[in-house]
Amino acid sequence: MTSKILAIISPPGEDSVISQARAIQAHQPDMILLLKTFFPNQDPTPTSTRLLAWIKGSRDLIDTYPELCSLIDMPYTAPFGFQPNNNFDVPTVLEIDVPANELHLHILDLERRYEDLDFRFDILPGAKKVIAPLLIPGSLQSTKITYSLEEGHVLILHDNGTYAREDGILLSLIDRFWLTGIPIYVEKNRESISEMSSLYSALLKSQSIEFQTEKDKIRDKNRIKSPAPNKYIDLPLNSSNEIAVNQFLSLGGTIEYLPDHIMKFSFDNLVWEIKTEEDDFKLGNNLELIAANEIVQHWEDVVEVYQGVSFLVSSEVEIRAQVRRLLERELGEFQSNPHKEHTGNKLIKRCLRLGIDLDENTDNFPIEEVMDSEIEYLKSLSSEDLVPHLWMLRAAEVDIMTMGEFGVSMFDVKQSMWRESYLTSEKSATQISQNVILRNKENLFIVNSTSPFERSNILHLTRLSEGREIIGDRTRSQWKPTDLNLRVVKRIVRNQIKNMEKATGTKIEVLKRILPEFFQDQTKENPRSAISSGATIIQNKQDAIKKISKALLEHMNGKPCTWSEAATVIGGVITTEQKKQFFGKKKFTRAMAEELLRDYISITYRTGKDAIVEPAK
Amino acid sequence: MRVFAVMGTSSTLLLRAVFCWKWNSVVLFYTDNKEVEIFRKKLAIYSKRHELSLPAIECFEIPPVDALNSLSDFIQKIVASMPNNTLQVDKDDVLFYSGTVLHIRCLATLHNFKTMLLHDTKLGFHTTGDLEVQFDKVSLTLQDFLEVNQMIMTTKSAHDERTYVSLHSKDDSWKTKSKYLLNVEFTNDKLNLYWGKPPTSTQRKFVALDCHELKEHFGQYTIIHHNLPPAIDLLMRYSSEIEIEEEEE
Repeated sequence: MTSKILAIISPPGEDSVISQARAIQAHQPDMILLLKTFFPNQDPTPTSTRLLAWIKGSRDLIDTYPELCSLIDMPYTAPFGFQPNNNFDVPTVLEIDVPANELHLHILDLERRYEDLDFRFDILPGAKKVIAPLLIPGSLQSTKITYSLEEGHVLILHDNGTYAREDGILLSLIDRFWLTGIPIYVEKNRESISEMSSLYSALLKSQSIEFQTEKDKIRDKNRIKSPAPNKYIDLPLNSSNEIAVNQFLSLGGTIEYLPDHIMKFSFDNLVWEIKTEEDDFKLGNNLELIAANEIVQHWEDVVEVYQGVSFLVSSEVEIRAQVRRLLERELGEFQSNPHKEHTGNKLIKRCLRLGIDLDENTDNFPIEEVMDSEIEYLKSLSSEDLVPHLWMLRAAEVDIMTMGEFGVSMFDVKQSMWRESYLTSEKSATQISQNVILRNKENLFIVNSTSPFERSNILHLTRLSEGREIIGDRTRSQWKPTDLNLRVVKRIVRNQIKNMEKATGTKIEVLKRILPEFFQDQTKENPRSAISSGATIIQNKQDAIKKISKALLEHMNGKPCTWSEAATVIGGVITTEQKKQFFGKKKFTRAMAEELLRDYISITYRTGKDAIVEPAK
Repeated sequence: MRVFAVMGTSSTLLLRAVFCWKWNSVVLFYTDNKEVEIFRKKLAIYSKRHELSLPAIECFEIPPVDALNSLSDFIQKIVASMPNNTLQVDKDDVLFYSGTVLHIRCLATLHNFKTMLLHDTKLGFHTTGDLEVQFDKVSLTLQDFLEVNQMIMTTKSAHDERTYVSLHSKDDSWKTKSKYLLNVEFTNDKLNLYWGKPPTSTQRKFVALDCHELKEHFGQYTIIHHNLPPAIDLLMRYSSEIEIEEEEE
């Protein structure tokens, strides 16, 4: 077989390391010519240490992170390193310094030198200007001009505009991160997700609407922040409610309820224990795997799928700083509300585990001492036992990452997103820390509730089965109910119609005729604005004041409420545009409420606390 | 003499290429009409500011590369559309090096371009290939850059009496959120952004959000960040430490 010689550009800096590795992996060359280009008055820069280590193999690449496991036995997912086809040897590497303006001449020289061999030049992304002369048809004679694709295949781009395609091997997503300086740990991959596929599918098939329970109402009342207005009209879809449980059983599954809010689902000889609640918070973590399974099963372009991808901190200093930051945050949360289960519990649990007494007064909390104890504790654990503590040791986490023909895609899975601001907030726009990943364009949200916001980057979990094409579908964010759920909703609506008929003493057909505005499909008129269709029609400023006051008095029902609650109610009555139109400001402030609504309400200020709003006496 | 160019992500360099010579016409390979319209407006603003005549603009649609159309799809579609869509390229026509490297190779071979237009910080605009031509240098000022992009720059005071720079669009559709953008300069046709050290993780996230937005609005290769927090700098390609080449991929 003719030897394959691959020439690629190796420009200064680490930026091209992924595309270089991608080309090397795809071409499977016998020899790599790294053409280290440099501009006049510049010195050639050394080739990326990590790229050279990666060519040698997994262990060599891991060893470029000497501090990753020096402090603790950090769990990680090892990179594959260069994967030689048919287990041949790794290619030899020849580094050549080439002045950028002489590249064309150098390639011409190389193609003469290797004219009897399979000599190819891959025009990988990243150094367009330097390689531009080589892109012109006829600039080279016997060299194969190639482009290696994300999915591992190689395009041979002929001078006459035609092309040929060679199959190749993909550069793993895991290796891409290790190569760029980020060691990672992944919880599940395509294979381990596929093994559990029938169970995940059964859970998705049986899921149903989780209606509010009395316990939920009490929980909401105890929260510092008032519930988002959408919370009650965008209910979660999950496997833990009664209807879903019955449906799962009827599909042939079994469920066991274990202590600590754990449900044990069994199906098809597969078992999955799901924790449904922690620290007074409902959890929806199981959705990540159900969503990942849908992608594995239905997205044909995807080659690799990973769930629970942690970007690890890789130096001792960073690990210590990371633990300290978390401790400071927990302490702050505890100090702000020590008796609230969902804010104070983390620190309480940590101190309990470390054997540290936690006083009510935390003014002199020994944070250094606790940090040292925590590090000592982490040092005592094995790599496997450290996995549950990974949240302390990572810079960021991505729920699902995929790799294939379209490059890298990231998915942030949410049970529901009740506030639109979540999409734009610097704090919560994504669980991926925005200080680590800046490629927001490739980040999609997956939600699983009845009526989510409709946005181009929100996909409904029940729509993933339609494949990648769903991204381009206008209804991508909409719930596709199962027959079971349709029956549930129909039953409820039928009962409500009966109540409506009884209350008005009028048949539904007549109501539809005389009040068409209540029955018309508003999404048909303006599909993009369906979420804001609840906006009230307001004539003028006085009308706005009346409608806000009325809504507030109805909400309070004779009792006081907090200003935060009142602000939410006001937000439900009047849109930002209407606020600007009638009051000249985008926000309806507390001071404005005090002045404009004084005939209806009174506001009492409390230092450091939320103000109290009461019906006017 | 005509210049052909793919509508890429960094429109500033393309705008300069349009005005580096009195082209008979500018032919834009595009995938989205809206982007062409925005670019036309930018050209109009610049030509008006400098009392230059606008060249004739022609448009030529090419297959898109996006979340639903991969590079494989792109090459398959563009090759399949030939020879019916082959352009009549003359020997003095030039192809500008905007778009991805695959775009350039495909267009060069499909339409048989023999000369390419490049830009170099020292040389300015010049060609490589059959023709060797040196064109005018076109440099924007900060005011040009802001006007062309319909942006306003203001200096504001933070609560701690520090001053910081805020950039926002004229239509108020976007503005920087961080209070740690300390200075903005426009040198060597790059927007140089000098960041202060954000004291909290929330402020760091604001900086990250701004970096992302700035990249969205101006393209990656028009911006040089200085003193970014290490966590952000790690994944921001081409930070201030590396010499920036004018690419747009």
